[in-house]
Amino acid sequence: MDNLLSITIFIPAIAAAILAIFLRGDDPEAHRNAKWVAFIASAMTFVVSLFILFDFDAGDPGFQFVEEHEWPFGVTYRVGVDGISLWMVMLTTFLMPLIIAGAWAHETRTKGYMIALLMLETLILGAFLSFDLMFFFLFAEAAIIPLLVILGLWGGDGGRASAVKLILYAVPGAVVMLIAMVVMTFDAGTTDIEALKSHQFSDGISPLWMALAFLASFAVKLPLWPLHVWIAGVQARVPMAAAIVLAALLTKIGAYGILRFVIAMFPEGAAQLAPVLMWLSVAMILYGAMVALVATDLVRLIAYAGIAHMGFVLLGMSSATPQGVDGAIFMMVSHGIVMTALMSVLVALKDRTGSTDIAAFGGVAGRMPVLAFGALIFTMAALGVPATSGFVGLFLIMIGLFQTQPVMAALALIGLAIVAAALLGVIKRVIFGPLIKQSLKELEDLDRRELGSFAVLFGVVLYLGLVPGVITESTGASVDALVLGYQDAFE
Amino acid sequence: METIILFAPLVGALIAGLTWRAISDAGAQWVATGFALFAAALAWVLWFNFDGDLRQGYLMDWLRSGTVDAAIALRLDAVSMQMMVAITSASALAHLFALGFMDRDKSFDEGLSFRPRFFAYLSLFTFAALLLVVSDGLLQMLLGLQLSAVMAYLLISFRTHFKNANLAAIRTFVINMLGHGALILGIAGLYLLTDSLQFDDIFDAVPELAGDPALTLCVALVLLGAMAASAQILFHVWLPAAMEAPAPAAALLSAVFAASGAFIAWRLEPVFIEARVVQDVMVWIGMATALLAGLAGAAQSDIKRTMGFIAIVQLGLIFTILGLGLGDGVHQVMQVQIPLFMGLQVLLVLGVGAVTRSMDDSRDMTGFGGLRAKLPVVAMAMMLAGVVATGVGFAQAGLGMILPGPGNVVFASAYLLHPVVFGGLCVAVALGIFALWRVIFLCFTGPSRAPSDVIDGIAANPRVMNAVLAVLSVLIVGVVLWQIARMSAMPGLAGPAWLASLPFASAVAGFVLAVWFYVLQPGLPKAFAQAVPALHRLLGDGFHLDRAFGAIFTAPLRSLGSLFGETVDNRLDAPMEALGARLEPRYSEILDRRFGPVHLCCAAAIFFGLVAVITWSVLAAGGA
Repeated sequence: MDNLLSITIFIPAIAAAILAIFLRGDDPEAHRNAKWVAFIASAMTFVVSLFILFDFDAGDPGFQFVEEHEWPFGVTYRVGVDGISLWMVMLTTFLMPLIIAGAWAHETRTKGYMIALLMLETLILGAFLSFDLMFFFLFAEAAIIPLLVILGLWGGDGGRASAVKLILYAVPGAVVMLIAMVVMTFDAGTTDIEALKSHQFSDGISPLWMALAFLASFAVKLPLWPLHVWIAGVQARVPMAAAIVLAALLTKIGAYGILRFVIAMFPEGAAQLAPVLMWLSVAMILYGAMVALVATDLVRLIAYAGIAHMGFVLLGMSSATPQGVDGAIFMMVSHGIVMTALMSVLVALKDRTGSTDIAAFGGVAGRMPVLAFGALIFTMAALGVPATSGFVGLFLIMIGLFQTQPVMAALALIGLAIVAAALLGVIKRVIFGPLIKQSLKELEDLDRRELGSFAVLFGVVLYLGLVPGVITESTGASVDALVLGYQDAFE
Repeated sequence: METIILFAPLVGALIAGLTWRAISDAGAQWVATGFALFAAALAWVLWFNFDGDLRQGYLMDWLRSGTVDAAIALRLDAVSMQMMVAITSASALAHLFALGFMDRDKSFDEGLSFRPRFFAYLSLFTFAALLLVVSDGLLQMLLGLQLSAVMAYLLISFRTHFKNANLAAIRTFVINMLGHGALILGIAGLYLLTDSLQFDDIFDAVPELAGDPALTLCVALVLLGAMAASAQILFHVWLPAAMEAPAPAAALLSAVFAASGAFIAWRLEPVFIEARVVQDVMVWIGMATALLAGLAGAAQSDIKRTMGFIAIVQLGLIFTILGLGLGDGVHQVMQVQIPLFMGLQVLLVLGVGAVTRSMDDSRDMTGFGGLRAKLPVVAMAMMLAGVVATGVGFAQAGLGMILPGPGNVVFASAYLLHPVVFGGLCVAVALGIFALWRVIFLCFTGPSRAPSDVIDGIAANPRVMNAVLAVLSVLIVGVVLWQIARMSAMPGLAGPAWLASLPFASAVAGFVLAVWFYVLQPGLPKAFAQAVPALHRLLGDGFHLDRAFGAIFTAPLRSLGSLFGETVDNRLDAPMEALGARLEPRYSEILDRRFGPVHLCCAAAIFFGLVAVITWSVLAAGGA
């Protein structure tokens, strides 16, 4: 198939259009149909993306499955996939059906919600697959829009204020990045990322300033400390499925963007920024860990633990070593899966009790042993225990980092131990302990749908932990090419 | 066969853990126990047929990225063989003991199926520990160690509704995780220095790196990891707490899991030996650990915590021996020390488990007494353990001294190189032996101090428990006799006779002191506590280290967390918050009045798109 990538990108959008145009009514059946359409579309997207995975040539560091179409006004639609974006795409297509299945209990304005989720999927996939500046910009920045709508319509009391705040956080960065892109286009005469990578920019264009301009947008999405403040609030307000997309996938656009643009396009600038970025990453890890330690709400706990993990990703990328970058990519995949898994535990609890307040629980294991088991395994994966997906990325990042920054590596691992104390402390209070609260005594364990999701996530966490080669071997060539330029910049 | 031994406990765990509904509670327990016994039997067979040559077996590829290449493989040599026999035997006996011990657990509701889970955990722990000792490379070693730590967490928090059990589990896991962090860095460093993660390559490469500060740093990091796992000074607080686990689990944790750090240092001895500074530090660490644990252990009233401290005394001694860095001599000694430590520790903790089970789960041994008549087998077994510990000078310290052979070299050198350490060790041995006999005397001799209804209510323990204690006793005596025979056949360099007998004399002094305090003058301990109350409190509370750590680490971290999460985050967010609140009505108006959600989505996308397309095409055309 020549249009495999476009098909992958637009299946969810088409399904969204179908929902918008053809689905009518506000009865339970319409709600169910909306969910089924969304689920089938996202599952189909996953199946199609598997073809990309199987036909991907791991030895080729460049873009594959390239589609280029001349559009009016001199615009060219360019999509392609390389070893770096491949796993971001697979992560997205793999997680979306699970996320949508996890939203099965959603009953308010379901159609609109599903449309928003499907649009999110298309936009995220588009961002990962475009190798044209303009399309990347469109997809990546527009991915905020469905989130704004979700915040506004399903975000409850503070939702709209949150949405406005999100715009305020996101737009300045986007504008700065847009200006940088315009400058690049003017200088190089093309918006083709592949061509831009090898383009020698004129002396007037400072790599440092360009790197900073791109960082302005990606830092918000990552979210880089101290721009992280918005994420916990948004995650707490939106319905859980959107919160998962945000934590598991949208943050990856930030990390991916830093890799693809800041490091690959302006290695000299990135090299100058590296020390700052690395210290900020360490700050993210320690800060996130400590806030997680005193969190009283489960969503907030996972949001801050997630921030700490993204700190590891950024550390790996900035280490300018093949292992560090390999590890960062692996950790992005693992982080997406583990975040989804941990949030699914939350969804199961929230669907049953309506609460995510840590104090509202206690002794859940007595009624929900399967959920307890899942929570434990996913926590261990989040803590980087070997044989789970969390370990591989962590270890590779540490090998990469230890070569240049042993002190940072040590601080980061201390941060991880604090995250461990935070997560296990909450397991103690929520899952373990005596079952005293009357409201929890009638809890039912996971139903078949939830069990299915848990089993799939559990299987993947274990599989990636035991057979990490599936990822590391296909990222190798692209990462080596990328790191080579970055290392030169350091010298 | 070694592959079968490795995976048998895993299979047992999976069957017990996943199919217990089908094969019944009892079925699951017997399956797990059966596989554990099977693994132990095979390990003994393998040992008897083992010719001492190194065997390596590949199992599967694991982590590959660039030049990083770590496979899962089996390494069978004298070290791993011995560990394998010791671990599978300890595990099989703990499983058997648990069959009787777990037949009732007051902390779980009647009718609740908690036993299959416990047996599955025990078996999984065994698998993890085996994976560690048969590892052929650093990464697999880490895998085994971290999986053991996870299982330790699950076993300690097994009685999930007990707050103390949960706290102890978290403490164990987090402290070990800090150690794992250091170990990860050490492994990363060794990989960068030697370009390999496999032992053979690393052992070949390190002699050229001798004295290299980078190597010293890596070894120091590995040492930190080993210290955390083996509860060495400052990291040690997890082990007494970990005794919260049910007795069969506590036995395995204090004997097998806690020995994993010592095993790592032993396995990596060729690397350690190239970093003399680290080894010198290790000698001191071991001594300080043993001394501190001996002092604290002698003043505990909680019988299980005492056992934790006794384990730490022995681990400290083992660390000192390992730190002496005397190559083959150390190997010879360790091959006796570690299995004997495991055997003694398992016997002691299981015995203590039998006692507390009879005493209604009370753990304050000052309230016991006179139990010899009620629990004769337990009393016999514990006393035998006491005699062996004293007789061979607490195994670790004494064996080298009272026997001819290489062990003597070790201790003669210890004395020559580190006279202060040697003196400290002798004191630690005396304290450890004192603590051990104190437990035995407080439990089994003298008049009973427990309420009469508790004493009258003591039922005979299930027979399988007594049988396990008896088998263990026989095993330990057998091992000691066999080792005496083996080592006397070896030529040895004997040190001065008085030097050789000093640790033994210390052990006897500890015993005599215990007899004096708890048999001849039972009023003495109380008088002593009253005479120096501050000292008594200090020791009983383990030098207040738990509280100190809480004040130094936990409390500030939590305060910082609150400061960051509330004050700092709010400050950072304040400008946007204010602006957002001001603009929110406009946004609401757009969302509610003008558009539905779909319209808004499309409109925004189209608007955004058009703006960008037009800007771009104009600019791109201009630029081109």
